[in-house]
Amino acid sequence: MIVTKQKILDDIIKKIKGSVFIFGCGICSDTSRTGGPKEVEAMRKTLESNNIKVNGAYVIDAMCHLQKVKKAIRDNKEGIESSESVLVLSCGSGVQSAVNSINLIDKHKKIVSGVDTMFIGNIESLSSLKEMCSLCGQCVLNETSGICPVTLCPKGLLNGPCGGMKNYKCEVDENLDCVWVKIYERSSIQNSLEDIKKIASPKDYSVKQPVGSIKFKGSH
Amino acid sequence: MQTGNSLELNKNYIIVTISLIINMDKNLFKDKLENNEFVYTSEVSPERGTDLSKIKIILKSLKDKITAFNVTDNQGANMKMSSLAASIYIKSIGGEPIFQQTCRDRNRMALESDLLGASALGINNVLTLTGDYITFGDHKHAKPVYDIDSVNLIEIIKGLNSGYDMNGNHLNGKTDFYIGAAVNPESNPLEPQLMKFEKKIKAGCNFFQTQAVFSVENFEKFYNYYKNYNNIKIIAGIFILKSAKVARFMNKNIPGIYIPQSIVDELENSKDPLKTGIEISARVAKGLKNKVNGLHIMAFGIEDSIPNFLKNFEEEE
Repeated sequence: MIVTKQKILDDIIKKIKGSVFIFGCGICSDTSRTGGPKEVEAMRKTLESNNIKVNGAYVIDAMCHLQKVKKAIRDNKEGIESSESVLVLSCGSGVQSAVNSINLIDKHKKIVSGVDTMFIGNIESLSSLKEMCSLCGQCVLNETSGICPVTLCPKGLLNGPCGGMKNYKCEVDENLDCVWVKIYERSSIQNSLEDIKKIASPKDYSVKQPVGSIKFKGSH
Repeated sequence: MQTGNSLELNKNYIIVTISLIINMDKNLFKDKLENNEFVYTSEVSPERGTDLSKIKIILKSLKDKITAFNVTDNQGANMKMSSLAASIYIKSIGGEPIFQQTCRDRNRMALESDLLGASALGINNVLTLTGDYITFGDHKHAKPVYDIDSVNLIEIIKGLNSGYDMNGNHLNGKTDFYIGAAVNPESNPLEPQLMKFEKKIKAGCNFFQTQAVFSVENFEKFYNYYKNYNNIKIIAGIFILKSAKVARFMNKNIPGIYIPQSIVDELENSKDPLKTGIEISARVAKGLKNKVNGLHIMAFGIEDSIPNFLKNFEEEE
């Protein structure tokens, strides 16, 4: 899931022009506690107490899904049309779904993002989200016994630990395990040390250029 | 605006400067190591600013005792004058520089082009490093690059030495670098560090400079491993501690440093901590002497204690 964090309230308020309609996202923003039904309702009250008129609010079950966003806009036509701004409590993808869809009916409406998009997170529990993959487009997990150094080493090192590792811990944060020690230990158990002893080539950053996109042929 | 004449003058000046540098293309550091002579290296940290006078003072006072000077690259992730410029300056005043390159601040293209520039201007030793993480230093909000790592960098330099860039493109003029890398002999656990050490050797590393060593006993385990590699030169890192406070600070804040409590206590109980610090460093260095090819002496801010250390170290037991 995509993990988000609410922006500073004052910064959100400064960007809103006139009255507002609020969109939330029922999948990721709900789990991140930034844009599910509870947070959307809380935001409505907060904005109203700051003298901003809220003309409606709606939680879409996945704001990255353009067709669902378009349908939600049709279903909430009146509230959106009567608002000068639309506040989106969803990741950057969700905000741009709203921009692209609302642009079709009104190019002047102000779309405000209420959150910062942080990382793709594993749900360890409902109160703990952890980054384990950084969407690099060139997965090395088959070589590193299933533990990602691109994400879990702050330097993204592919060939072993840096000299800063101390007593099994990362130089950047003493509470963080050195991921290369973890990879080494697991590769020993898995009998796959040969894989990590080979020199890994630098990553190919052309794989996602110019902008990541996939077009499928045929039906699903 | 420059006139035709001043352009001509500038051109001559550049040609004279370059010729001076090219005439100094002997690599004393490499020659000594390859002839199995014991070497001493030390560290020079360029200023945050354009002032070169401190480098000049250090060079003047230590040039006769120190074979080569390691020129740090934005040390501790703090923004300083470039290692490249300071290395060229050191070469121009008769010192032998070891140009440090970390992978933190430059992508593969920038690293390669700086290496070509360094080589063209007479720099022949390079020390490849990952680089302390960006948040340690004074530009905490900067983007950490780490496009490639130190093992990849060694491979790239080996390629430049053969006349090709990392993508196999032919170079018009190849480099002639003596390639160095870092290793931490006191790393805990040691095995993942040894794996990387071995990769660096495979990639084409000629010499290693170790992290500061404080325990001869810990170093022994590393020695038992590397003594099988005949052609690899090891320069042991020796840090001159001036007080117990510095030792405690380093243990807490410097990545990869392990200073035993017994050393901290020895400094704490001393009436002359700097003298004791020099004695401790010399004692550790003597313990390593027969296992290594040289010493890299680190004495941040107390470079004037290096001659005393050397006197202590060279004294018969």
